[in-house]
Amino acid sequence: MPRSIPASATELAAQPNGLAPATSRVVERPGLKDLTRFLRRRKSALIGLLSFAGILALAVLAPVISPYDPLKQDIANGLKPPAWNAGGSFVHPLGTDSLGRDIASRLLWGARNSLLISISAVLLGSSIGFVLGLLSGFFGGWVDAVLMRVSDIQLAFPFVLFAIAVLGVSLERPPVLLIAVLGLTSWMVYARVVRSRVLSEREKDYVKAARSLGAGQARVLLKYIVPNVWQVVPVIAMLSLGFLIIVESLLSFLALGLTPPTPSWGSMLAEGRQYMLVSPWMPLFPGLAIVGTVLAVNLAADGLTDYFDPKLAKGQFRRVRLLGAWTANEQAGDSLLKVHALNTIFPLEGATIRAVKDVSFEVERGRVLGIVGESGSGKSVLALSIIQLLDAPGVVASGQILMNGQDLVRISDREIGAIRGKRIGMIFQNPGASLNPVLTIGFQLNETLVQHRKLSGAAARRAAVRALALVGIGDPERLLKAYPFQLSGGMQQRVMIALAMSCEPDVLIADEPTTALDVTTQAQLLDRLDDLRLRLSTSIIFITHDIALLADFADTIMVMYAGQVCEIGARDRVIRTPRHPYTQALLNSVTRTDALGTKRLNAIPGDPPDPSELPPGCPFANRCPHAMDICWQANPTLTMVESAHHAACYLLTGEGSAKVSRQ
Amino acid sequence: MDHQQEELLRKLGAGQISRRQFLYTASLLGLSAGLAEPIAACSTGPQGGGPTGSVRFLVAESFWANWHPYLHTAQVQRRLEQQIFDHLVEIESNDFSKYSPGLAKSWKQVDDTTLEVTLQQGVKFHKGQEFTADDVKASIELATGASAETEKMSTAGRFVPTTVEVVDKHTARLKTKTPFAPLLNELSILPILSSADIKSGTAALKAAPNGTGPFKVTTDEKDKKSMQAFSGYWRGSPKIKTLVWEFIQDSQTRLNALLAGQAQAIDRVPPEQIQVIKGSSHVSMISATGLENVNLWMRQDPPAPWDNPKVREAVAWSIDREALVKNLVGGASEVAKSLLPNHAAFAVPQSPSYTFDPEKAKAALSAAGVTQTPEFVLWGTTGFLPRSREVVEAIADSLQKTGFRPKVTITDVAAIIDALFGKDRTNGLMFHLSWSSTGDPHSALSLLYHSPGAWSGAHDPKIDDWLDRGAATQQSDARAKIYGDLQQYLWKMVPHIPLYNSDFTIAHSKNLTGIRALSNFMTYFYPASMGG
Amino acid sequence: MVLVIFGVVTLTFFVVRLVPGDPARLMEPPGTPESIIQTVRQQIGTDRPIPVQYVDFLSGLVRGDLGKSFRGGRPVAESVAKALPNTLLLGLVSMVVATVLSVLTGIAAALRPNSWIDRAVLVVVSVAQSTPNFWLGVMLVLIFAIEFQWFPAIDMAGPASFVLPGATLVVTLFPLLVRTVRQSLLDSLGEDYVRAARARGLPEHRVLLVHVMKVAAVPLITLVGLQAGFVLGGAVVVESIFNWPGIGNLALKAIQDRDFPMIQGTVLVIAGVFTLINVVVDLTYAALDPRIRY
Repeated sequence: MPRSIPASATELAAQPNGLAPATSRVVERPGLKDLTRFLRRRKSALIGLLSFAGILALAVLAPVISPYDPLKQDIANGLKPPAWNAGGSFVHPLGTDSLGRDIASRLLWGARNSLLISISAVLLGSSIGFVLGLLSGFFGGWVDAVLMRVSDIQLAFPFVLFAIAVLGVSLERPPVLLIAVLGLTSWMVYARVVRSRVLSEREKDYVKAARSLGAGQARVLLKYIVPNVWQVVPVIAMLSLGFLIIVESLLSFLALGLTPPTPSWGSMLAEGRQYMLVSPWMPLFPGLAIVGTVLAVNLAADGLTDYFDPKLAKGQFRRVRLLGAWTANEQAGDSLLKVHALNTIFPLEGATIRAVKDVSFEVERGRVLGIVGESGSGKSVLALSIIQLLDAPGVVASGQILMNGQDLVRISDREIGAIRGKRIGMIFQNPGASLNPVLTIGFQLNETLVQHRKLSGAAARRAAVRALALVGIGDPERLLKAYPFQLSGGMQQRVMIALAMSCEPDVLIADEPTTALDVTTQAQLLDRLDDLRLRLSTSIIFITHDIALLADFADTIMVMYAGQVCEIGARDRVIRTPRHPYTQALLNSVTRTDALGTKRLNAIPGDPPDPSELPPGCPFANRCPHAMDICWQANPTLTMVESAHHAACYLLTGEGSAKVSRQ
Repeated sequence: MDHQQEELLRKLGAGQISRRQFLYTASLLGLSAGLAEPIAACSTGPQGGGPTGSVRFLVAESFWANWHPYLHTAQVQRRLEQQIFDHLVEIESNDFSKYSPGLAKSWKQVDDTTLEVTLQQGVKFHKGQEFTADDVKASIELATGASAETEKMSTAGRFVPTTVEVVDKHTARLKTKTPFAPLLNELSILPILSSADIKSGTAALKAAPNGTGPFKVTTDEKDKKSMQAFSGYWRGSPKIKTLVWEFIQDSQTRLNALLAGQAQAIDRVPPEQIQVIKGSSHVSMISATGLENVNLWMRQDPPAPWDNPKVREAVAWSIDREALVKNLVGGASEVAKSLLPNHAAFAVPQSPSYTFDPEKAKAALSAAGVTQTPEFVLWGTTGFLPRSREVVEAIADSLQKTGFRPKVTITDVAAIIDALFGKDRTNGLMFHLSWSSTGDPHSALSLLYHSPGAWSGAHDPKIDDWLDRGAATQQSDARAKIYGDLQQYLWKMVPHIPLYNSDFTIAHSKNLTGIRALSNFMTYFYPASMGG
Repeated sequence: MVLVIFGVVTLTFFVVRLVPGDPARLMEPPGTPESIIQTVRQQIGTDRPIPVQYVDFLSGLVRGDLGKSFRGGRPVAESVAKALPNTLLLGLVSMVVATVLSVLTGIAAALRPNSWIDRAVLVVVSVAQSTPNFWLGVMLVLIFAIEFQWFPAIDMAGPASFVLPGATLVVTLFPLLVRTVRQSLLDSLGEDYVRAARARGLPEHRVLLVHVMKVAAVPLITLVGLQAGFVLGGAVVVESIFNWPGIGNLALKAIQDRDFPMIQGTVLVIAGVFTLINVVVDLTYAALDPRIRY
């Protein structure tokens, strides 16, 4: 299934990008069959493609639809204006040029020649560039060195001179020659881009795996690299198409264009330039034709860029605040942070994803709330909702997030800006990616301190050092000057914590902070967090998929599944007496070492539901060993199991107890 | 007014004396206040009689690489030299039989081969030397090939060797080797150099110009020649202080500069710009039918079947020259009625006038026994001749209608020179080119058609005979007959396909007054002035 | 770097001798007998076999001698030295303006992708990309130099004369720069570290201008380097329309005159400056992106 709907923030974070370590997954790039669906969504790209197709059609049909022979001269009727001007007539609807040739006909035939030349040149240039870039990136070594030097030389060689050299040698200038000139001077860009793509693909694990399995060079190149690399070419090609039409026009201006009297937009433009003062339409119409064509091509190209590069799908942040007052009865009370009936949705074309459904919880000062669930459970979206950093088109549909007498969902952008970082801090799963790679640690610490605590100079530096020391970093002074990529994963995460804690927020949201780290580091970090909590009375919302981590760490545990809370309660209660089948299954699936020292893995069978098509009943029904009829029909609500322990299951309410429970 | 008054006023006007000097001298001479009016008329500006203003003239052809006036045939260079050098006689109107005094105050034809000239007095070269008959001797003997100079001058081809006898400081006798009727005509464009410079050698003459003309060169750059008024000019100081000639190839750039006020005059205005200039309130133009034949050149030794005049005649019948002139070339251009420019001396409209007549073309071809002519290359150049590209395309189109098969090639000047004179001369057959002349049929025809024809491989003894006799006969009627017969012959033989006489238009800002442009392309910036 | 320049110069050397047009013949009036032309060839050295000429050329180059122009015998180095600063100045002004404009516009577009601002920017960019610079230059002159008389039509004379040719160049440079800025900003804005920065409460403008720009600057600088090459050698057209006394104009005229030493000299200088600029760009990478340093 093509990756077009962001299911969760974590999933997106797990996508490979330039900064993440090489993954072992084969990245599935979108194929061409999904193009139609995409186009229906992106109207501008569609318009572009259709317009271009239309222009192409006109060009192809020129011999048939052209009103006159484009070469037919009538010098007595030269420079006639278009039909709507004084002196014009419909005999020549767009007027005539200096030799009395019909401009409309020349436009059509000119389209043929211009497009033929530029499309062929693009094909030539892109093919050469693609192949050379491929070879260069794949084989490296002296092949790469030679090819890149050749590319440099070609780049540094002034185009005009090259054009004159090739086009001036022969006294006739057929289209083939122009195609050669244009193609041979444009391959360099493709080569470079393809080369750098190949370089990064080459290092990916799946390629290495294929090689270690004995795949030959050619096979690796053709079957593995090429399919993942070719996508850069069409976009560059489309962009350079318009450019080459212009260059062809430039060659005509320098009298190096097509042998007259062959019409092309470029030569019409160049010729028309002389007559601009007297007959402005002479250069106007070919100019418009060029602008229109290039515009169409560019719109289509932009669409293609977005299509082939799904990275753009992530990270478009737009905060949409809920308007309207909130009712006073849901005040926070003693708790530091109270979330009440929060609903977050992603309204997409065709389906609305309800990522967070009716979630409510409270966090008290200095306490840890652990949120656990598998991928797609909505826990990360919940976290982003709290801090109001949802990726578009995510939006909080209803509910309240109360803190300090304010509803975070409803306050202004400026107010939430004052809260982020200062009152609520957040750390993320991939610490390496969450630190700006080109700024030093010290810089990043400093700016936060300046932003929130208004410190400066030496005071900020001291505070930065203190923050680093707080997370147990041995030589904080030295680290200030370091860059993130120089640190290990564990260190990076400590820095992230330091960053988040430097302003001493009331709440720290930790979204799977240890998932990317090894077990030992994991334990160390948890210790650190605990330590901070004790010292600064920071409340922590700890999000994880591993319930085992929460066993010692959390005060309250909230289990989420398919966007809703299935169980929430004090840690001991939930761990020792889980009442929701899902919680039970989670606890069960924790790797245990049995008496013989063998680890046993008890995975939960089945898959979580598709968030865009949630079933009417309990979302866990299809995997629940105790599912009853009613479970399929209606969604259970949270009911109290005991004090400070709630679960949403019909098993508790006894509603279905009369029916036979499924085994 | 008597001579003294005249002289004083002239000097005042030329800025040679100040008003104070004038009044003092006038009072000394007892001249009365009746001069008050002329004095007022002599003022040219706030500075009184001094030169003012700066004129920038943009030309369409690049300058020659050196300053030696006798080693080139470039038209623009010749016109530039007019500002710097003087000639013995001048042509001041479009009547080419009338000559005005130049450095020669007066002249008389003593006999068939001797011309006695009386020279102006008080003329100085820019570098200070006094102009005497020695300079005339050195210049003319060098230019006509009569001196001992080993390097052959380009100008020699236009003359017969002429020796000069110095009678006295201001009198000289020019003795042509054989009677030479076009002498005065050729002298009217021959710059007179200083004998001292000629003695210094070719290198010195190439390096920097030294003339007696109204302007002297101050800065010499490849595409820009800056000149300053020569206050000691014998006719009186120019009214323009600075004159700059600059080469800008693109005609639209030239026009833009004029319209934006950054140039005061532009050269070779193409016909499509004429409308714009007419519509502008602060620029105007001068137009003339140039003494320039634009033809389809062919070498005089072309391959078969082009060596048959009937085939060439067929080409002539295949071009609609009227339409070309009316619709494309425009301006003051005219259909060529002869292979002599229409307004040259002794030019006679020829018949049949080659109109566009495919029937006659076919008839001529079948008379030559040719059914299908081979493909050939028709050359045109960009840049210099306005609308050359369109003209060539129109001609090609026209030729195709009668069954000829031209292939159009438009290139730059370097390539076409190669094709015309280089080793690989079979590259082109016909070239759209022009040849300008000075009004006498000798200059129009001799270099082109006289064997051994460096320009076009001419080798027809009949033509040679006419040309020789025409040059040698001083008598006007006799010359008319000779050139009449020659024109008829040429018209039938069609060595070049005649097209039209070009339009020669210069545009200038309205406050540049007194500028003159003649149909022989001579362009006078003296005594033009700026302002007012 | 030296290799590239060497390659370019060698290529130029052989290429100009392929084009039809004998410089010796052009230096004499048409119709001059072949013997004189041969003398000229001997004087300027084009009568020798090409490899010999090449060796001679190279040895002169090593000495720092670019040769003498075929037209007028002036040293090529002199003409080039006079023309180069004019081009560089115009190029610099244009690049600075284009870069600043494109950064501002790119930021505006990237902040609201697919919004009307973004679409408008893309349309403007496409129109700018599809306008040939010679046509634009002429339009600008017509309107602003002739109609309104606000700026001069030709020549390099004072700051006002930079406006029209500069504007023409800027319009040519602008589209690709904006696209690059927009694209790299969009790419970066989706990165985790941007989210983390926002989570720390850093205001959006700081996130954009400090965090994102520094990373996005790398592809931008690359492009600036490449476009420098265009500005140097490809601005021929602009220089010719505006009669700008720059190196592009010099090269064009040299080509028409078949002035081999001048052609070689100008190309050498153009390639040299281009390569130099790209070396500087490479060094800037290291300054911008520490990962490249280590």
